[in-house]
Amino acid sequence: METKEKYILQVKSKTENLAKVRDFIREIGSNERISSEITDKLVLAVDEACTNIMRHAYHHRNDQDIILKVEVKQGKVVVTITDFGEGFDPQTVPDPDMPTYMKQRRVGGLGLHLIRALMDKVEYQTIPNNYNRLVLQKNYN
Amino acid sequence: MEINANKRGEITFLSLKGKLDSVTSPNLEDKLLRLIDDDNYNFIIDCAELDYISSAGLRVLLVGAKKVKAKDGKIKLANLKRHIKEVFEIAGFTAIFELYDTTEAAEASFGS
Repeated sequence: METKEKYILQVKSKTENLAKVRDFIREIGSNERISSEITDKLVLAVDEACTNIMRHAYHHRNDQDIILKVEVKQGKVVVTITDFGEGFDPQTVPDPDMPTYMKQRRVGGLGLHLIRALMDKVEYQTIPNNYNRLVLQKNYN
Repeated sequence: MEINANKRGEITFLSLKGKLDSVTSPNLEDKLLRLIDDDNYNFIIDCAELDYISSAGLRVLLVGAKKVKAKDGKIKLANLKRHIKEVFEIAGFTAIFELYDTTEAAEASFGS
């Protein structure tokens, strides 16, 4: 694997850093000549993933680490996002159903729903008391 | 995020400029909920200069839509950029919100 195709960013878990995360992904898209349509989807999926980490894994503690690693190879972009907070079981988060969504009091699960819809492959691994790892894959070309 | 509001007749026009994410959407929520508390129930949100929306922004719109629905009001959106419209479609929000190409078309739809 060539290092020039690998990008790494480590940020603290404060919402102000979401702009930094989005810029990081956007810059990779431009460096790698990926279409804006694909880049837009990656930017949003990564924003949603980091927002979920800040809210659910770190419970709004803003001094925790989030590590993003991006690899671009053979027509696909693979983003690996690692955090060291509380894990979860993605299967317990169903995709929201819009008509009933309007009637529900609480509005949750929207971020994960977007991630699933925007990406070609989503994998989540949690190692209790160690780390959680979300792998997002988007194909292009 | 820049939010401008003005009222014409029974309709409150909001225009959004910039990015609607986890950082900025509380500003829109405050503004929208305050307007609803002040008895504004019909809204047209002009998204011509909205560059980005995440689920945090969508959630605020949904909270607003639920509040005005209780008063027989509606939130309609106009002038969405292609990539913003796509997010609405992916999220399934086109089933909840009426989207119009222009604010004039959105305004006309309130009369009908």
